[in-house]
Amino acid sequence: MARAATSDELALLRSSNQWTKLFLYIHNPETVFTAQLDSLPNSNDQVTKIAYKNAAGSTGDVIDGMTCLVGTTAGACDVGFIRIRAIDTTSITLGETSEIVWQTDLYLTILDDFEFWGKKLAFLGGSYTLENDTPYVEQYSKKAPVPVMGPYFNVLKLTGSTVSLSMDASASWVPGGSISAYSWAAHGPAAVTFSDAAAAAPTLTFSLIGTFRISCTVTANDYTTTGYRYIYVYDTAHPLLSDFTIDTISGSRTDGWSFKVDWYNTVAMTLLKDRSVAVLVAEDHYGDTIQSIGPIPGYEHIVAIGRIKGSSIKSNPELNDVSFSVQGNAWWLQNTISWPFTLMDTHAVKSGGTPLAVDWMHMDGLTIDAALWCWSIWRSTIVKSTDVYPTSDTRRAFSSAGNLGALWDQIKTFSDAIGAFPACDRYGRLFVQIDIPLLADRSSIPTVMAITKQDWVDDISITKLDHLSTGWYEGVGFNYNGTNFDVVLSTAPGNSLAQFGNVQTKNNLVASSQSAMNALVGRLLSRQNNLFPVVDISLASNNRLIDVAGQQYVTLSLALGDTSLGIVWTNKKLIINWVELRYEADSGALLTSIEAAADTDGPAGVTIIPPTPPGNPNPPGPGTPIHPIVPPPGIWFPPIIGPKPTDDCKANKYAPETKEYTLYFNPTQINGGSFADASFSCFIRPSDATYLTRIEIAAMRFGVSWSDVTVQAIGADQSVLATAAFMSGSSDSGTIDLATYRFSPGLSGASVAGFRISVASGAIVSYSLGSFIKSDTVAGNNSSGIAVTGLTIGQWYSIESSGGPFYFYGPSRPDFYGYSPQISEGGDWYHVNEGPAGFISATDISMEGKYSRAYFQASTTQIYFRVDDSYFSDNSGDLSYILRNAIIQPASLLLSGVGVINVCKQ
Amino acid sequence: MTTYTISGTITAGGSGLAGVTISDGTRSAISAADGTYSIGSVPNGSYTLTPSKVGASFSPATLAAAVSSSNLTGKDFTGYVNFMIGTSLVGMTDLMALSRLVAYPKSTFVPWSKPVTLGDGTVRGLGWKTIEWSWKIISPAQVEKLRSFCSGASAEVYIVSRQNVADAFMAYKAVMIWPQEERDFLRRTDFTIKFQRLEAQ
Repeated sequence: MARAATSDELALLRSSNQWTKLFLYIHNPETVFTAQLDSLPNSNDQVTKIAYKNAAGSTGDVIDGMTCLVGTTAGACDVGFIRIRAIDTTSITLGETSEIVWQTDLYLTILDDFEFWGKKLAFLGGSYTLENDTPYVEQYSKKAPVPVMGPYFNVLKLTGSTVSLSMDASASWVPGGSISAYSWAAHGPAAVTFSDAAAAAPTLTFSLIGTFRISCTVTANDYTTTGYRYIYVYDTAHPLLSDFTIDTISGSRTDGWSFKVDWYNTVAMTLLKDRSVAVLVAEDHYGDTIQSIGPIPGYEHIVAIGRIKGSSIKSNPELNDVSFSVQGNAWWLQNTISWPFTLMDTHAVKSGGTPLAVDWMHMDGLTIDAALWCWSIWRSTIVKSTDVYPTSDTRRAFSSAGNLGALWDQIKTFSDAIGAFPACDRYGRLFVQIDIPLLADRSSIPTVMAITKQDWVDDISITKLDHLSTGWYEGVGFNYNGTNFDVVLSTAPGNSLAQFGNVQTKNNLVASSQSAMNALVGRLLSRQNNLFPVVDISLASNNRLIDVAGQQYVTLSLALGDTSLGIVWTNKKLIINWVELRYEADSGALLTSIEAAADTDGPAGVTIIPPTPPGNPNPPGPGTPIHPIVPPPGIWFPPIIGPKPTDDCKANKYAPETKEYTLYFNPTQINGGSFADASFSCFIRPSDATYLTRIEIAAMRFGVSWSDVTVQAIGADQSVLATAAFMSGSSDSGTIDLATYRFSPGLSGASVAGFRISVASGAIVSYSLGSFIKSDTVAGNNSSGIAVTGLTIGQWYSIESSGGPFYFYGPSRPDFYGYSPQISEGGDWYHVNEGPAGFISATDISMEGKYSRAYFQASTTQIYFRVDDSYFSDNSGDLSYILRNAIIQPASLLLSGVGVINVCKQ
Repeated sequence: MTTYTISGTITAGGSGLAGVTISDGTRSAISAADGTYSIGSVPNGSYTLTPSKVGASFSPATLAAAVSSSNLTGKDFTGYVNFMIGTSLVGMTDLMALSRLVAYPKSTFVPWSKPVTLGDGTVRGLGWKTIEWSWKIISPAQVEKLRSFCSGASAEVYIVSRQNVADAFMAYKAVMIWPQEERDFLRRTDFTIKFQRLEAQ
């Protein structure tokens, strides 16, 4: 966290002869396990498990979350990267992937490194399942903790017999609870001594050079989570890299930190790998004092941490160097994509309604920090390698959602409900922090330093707005009233527009009361109208206390003649937006520049009442409680309140209206039997042959025909106003299809709150192998077969033989009935669903090679398995069956873009 | 009258320093190649020993010596000689001892390399201190020795130099910057070697 500079540090920051030596450490992680692919997966799509052979290394060294390279040669990654989830003696369970083109005997190299990955939540077998195999049990009621241990990497110099570092996990957290235990451990070339391995903040002592993996397992609510960090210890005989140059190291609160390196070593090309961690280290001189100044004890000498962006590696033979860029965690989060993230509070129901059941999509007591916790622990792998700092905000949220896309964007979207945003510091620590101008209480925000004339160089540049940017700001939010949620609406500056400026609206805000909502909207307006949005300051110091992440101020004092604008400030509070460390190789000076914005605050807005929907005979009057339009699970149409419409659109409703409004559906992937909604408050215009009121959909279809898709207009009372008729659609295989659905003219003039797209339950699109359950031997001449017991009714399984055709069938054991997936000697025929109904319900057969594998959904707890040749009783050999869990992917529609035409937006 | 000897060693940069004159006020001796010296024929009495050598300074500047019916040993001085260079603080080379020429090079100290003007109008010197050694004439032996410390464009070395003429000599760890164009001593009369990143030792 940010902190104020001490008086001793200020003296150093204001001293002469400040200069810095920069060093670089590039980490090539240790290989913990290698193997080759033993057999090709069923397909390249949605692979979750692979068999391996020719292994080297101990499976005990493989940890959930490690990165695995997939290549055509040993140690290569030319085929791709996968995430390890588990390993046994024959197979690896991995994070579901479709991007690997599996080939025979591919090399698998598991690295001692933890990258960012998204985790998939899918609708399987009637409920949401995480990563295809983890049902919701009690994960939200007994929350696992988030470990916070410090930056992912540190680099220490061994100058004597030992070197020590204090690590601190006391900032580990869990929503609504506390950490009950800490357990530290180390893995590396030598033992690491912990002052107290069960303490929150032990001191670690290293006596040998090398890379050490430090783990800390934190416990809360009887659950544990383990984070991993690395310490590289070096000595004079094994120095860090120094034959390189760096011009600038820069960071913004929107995009994080990065730097570019020119390394004077063309041989180094082979040493540089995509995604390798790079650590920039400083030896800082303040006059004759050698000391680094930074926010984290023990990490002051670390300038920045990131990973090498592989595509940036370029050799420059003329200059005898190789250049590459290093991107901090923000960039990697902005470029790592994941499935949609959606959470709804279980009390997001109508007044008097029954709270929703808790599952992966519904949480009791949802807050933005709880959403961040869920995103961190269950929907990504970030907590293994990165500190995540929550907002500490405890207000209850109606819902939290992030679209299919970048992990960064998901946090950005759901944390915006309380005016928070993600930001990463130089070390890569992720802070989800409320923007300071939106805070009611800012007393705990530290001021890193008070900048005066002895601190800045040349002129200070200040941008001053000459008129207001925003003239009207409206906010719509939810306030939890102890039972369910009230809608709270506010506008600022009041019920009259300002003379200048644009109109801004923000929805889905979280407020603790109507008055708090008014205060928040007032602050939102003030932030928009910041008179001093940009203050550029070049500091005459190597100041690495200031960062773009972690709430902090600097203050600035200006006298009349200090700027051309004649601004006079005394300790004006500034908020950091951008920091640059500029390194001058001719002098060794590492100089800090910042771009900041003045802090803002303003008067509260006023309460507003939403417009009366047409046809409502009893509009809410002043003071009338406004209850949210609360849907059944999965539906949400928050009211979108804007300035009173001018009605031009309606007044000229017979004029052509060709504007297409974009609809945003949540979720964007709709499985068979499910639906998605988009809030869009509008009036339907008359629809005739010329001016069709219609919805156009661009989407990818998986096992869904356009006739399976239903498009409906939904009213403010959640009723279905109309169902659109399918007009036309393309069927371009493998690409995005387009379809148009038309509403009947009878809907003309109706007020619509939103639209719904649903997909009928359809066929299952794909099957893939899940975890191994069991196998057993069956004699080739056993015409009765053997029982396969312990099945769960309704669960999907796969069954196959170890090398020959087979039968499996239900409890009555008919000789010729049931399923007989096989391939005959002379052809490719196989039997499907020929047996008496009711014993086994299977809907598909996946053929593989000469013999087949069957996927089936059990309708009984026991089936029988026998080999095909047993009918002839002439086979003396044995075969085995292999029973596994099966992973199914139902038919689904992946929306790419949806627009509505011939409506009047409210 | 019985007389005694006063002896000791003069070291500089971890090596014996030759050619230093040590005087007790009446008698004197010159240090040998290994830095040792011995003043003979000293009667009982109290003396002040003072070392001297052109271009060098010593610590301490003087030493008290009381001869009382026995020889005195261990009267050691540490010498600081300009233009000493080495890979550590031990075994440094006195570059001037490698030249028979009288001309001494010039040592220029630059207190900072990045002056900046602050908001209050004052100047702050940022960046490292530098020292430049420049020769009008340099001997092949000196060039050869310099090359042994810096085969490329730069190298980390230890030097002894002083900031100003009146200052004491200081030992520094420094990065020697000796670009290729400064090495062609046959064709030029001015040679400059820059030492930057000075760290006082």
